Amino acid sequence: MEVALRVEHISFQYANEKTYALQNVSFQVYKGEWVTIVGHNGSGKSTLAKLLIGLLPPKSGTIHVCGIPLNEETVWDVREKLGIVFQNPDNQFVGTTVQDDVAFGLENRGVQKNEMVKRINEALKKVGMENFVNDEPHRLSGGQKQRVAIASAIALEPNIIILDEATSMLDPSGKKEVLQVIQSLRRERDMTVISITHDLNEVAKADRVIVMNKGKIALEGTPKHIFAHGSKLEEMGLDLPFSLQLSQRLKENHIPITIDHLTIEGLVSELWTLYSAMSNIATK
Amino acid sequence: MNSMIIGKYVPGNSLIHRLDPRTKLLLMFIYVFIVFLANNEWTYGVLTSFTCVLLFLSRIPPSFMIKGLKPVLWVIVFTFLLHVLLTKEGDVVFQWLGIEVYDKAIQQGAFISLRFLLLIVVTTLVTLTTTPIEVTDGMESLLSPLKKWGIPVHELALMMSISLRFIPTLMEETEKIMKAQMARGVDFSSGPLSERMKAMTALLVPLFISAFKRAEELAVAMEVRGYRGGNGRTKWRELTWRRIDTAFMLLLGLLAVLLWLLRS
Repeated sequence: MEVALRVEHISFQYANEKTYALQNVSFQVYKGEWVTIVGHNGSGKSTLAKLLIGLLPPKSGTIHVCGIPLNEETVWDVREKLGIVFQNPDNQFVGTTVQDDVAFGLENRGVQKNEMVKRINEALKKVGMENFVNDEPHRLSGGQKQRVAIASAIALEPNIIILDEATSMLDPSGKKEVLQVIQSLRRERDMTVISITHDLNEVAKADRVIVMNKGKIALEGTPKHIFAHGSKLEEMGLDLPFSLQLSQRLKENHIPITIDHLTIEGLVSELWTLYSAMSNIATK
Repeated sequence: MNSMIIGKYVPGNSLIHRLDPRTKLLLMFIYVFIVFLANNEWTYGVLTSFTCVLLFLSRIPPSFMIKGLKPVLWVIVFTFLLHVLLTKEGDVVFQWLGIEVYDKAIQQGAFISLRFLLLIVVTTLVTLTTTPIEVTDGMESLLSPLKKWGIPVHELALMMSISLRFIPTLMEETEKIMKAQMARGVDFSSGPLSERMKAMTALLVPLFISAFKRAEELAVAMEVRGYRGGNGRTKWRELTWRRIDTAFMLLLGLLAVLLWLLRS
């Protein structure tokens, strides 16, 4: 499989701080994969994000994005491969209207006007914001603003899209909107997604999860594999998803739940079929 | 609070609305100069009718115009009175409580106030029919020759458009901080002036801190989307100079010539 991002032995230390923010971190992300990097505050995940987009130089180690080594000379080439959605919906909205904001990145790349029109329309359609082209940011909800931010990123046709805590300032419905858009993008475009979050609820949909703790990779694997280490995750300051906690409690109370559910939907459907299954047994 | 700064624009699709913002800015600029050419009944008549035609073409409801003029009305009245009382030329028209009012004084007062009124009407008209972002684009385009002398025209225009974009955001934030501080017992609305000024620090300090934070995050977001200054950038908002714009400029030229010929 083609490697989209290769991080090798990177370490980083902030000035005036004794401990390393990142210590010998290595991992790979393959093309078309959705990898979630999760960790509580101070685990080094935000530092990692800053290193990936070339805002901070690693103290040691190398980062390759689509085969290009990241350094001072290549930083602009590397950024062309990346689309990033940040945490605060307001502070990444540059344009005065939705279309101006999507156009901003295209203007920077010197894209011609007719090509711009095409790409802006396409990108806004992808995120379901095509009816808001002339709207000003203060008329949009947080989720809508983040969808515009995604549109701005994909209009530039990046190879990798990075979500840096992109849903953490949104209400539940806003979160859902954004994650749905990302999922449909992945289906249609085979986009590589790296999401960085402190919320284990967002982990379920990823192909692979990397858990960061104290600047190191603590765990790596599929969501199921990760959640098998339930208590360990809690020790690292992460809250287990509600559905998982509930499944465990139910089991402790001798309700015959088959698996630890990662999604509410899964748990609900097992619970309501479980009752009829049990009553079936009783009547027999 | 929002309406104070951005709400000035009255959406519409009139001839004046559709003019290129550069035309409107030039119109405003040139008008300010040619207003001073007028010095008799004829020239003021021509200027006033020109302005009335503009007003009519803009389809701006007169009530908007009047609302916009209210704050300056007193200045205009004051100017008129000052001229009437202080100019001592021509014949005395009437006397009242020992104050002599001359006919030339009335004429002079009327002219000066009319000039003032016309200036304000035209500048208000331009702001009412042009969105702030159009004004920014127009300014950038008109000032672009200054780039040769190292004036960062593109950067200034970008700064202006970002400021416009953040006005509502910061307004919202101001309101939020105010409420948060009021909940903590800060009194913004009563007490002596010095107390109220002191209370403002509780508003301004958090507002500034957050604005700086926003600025930093915005800069990162811009850089990541490939912003490297104005070189090699294309423009999404293109201004198109149409025949009607040329016609308007010619009309303005004609007006200037007419005023020059008619002035005494």
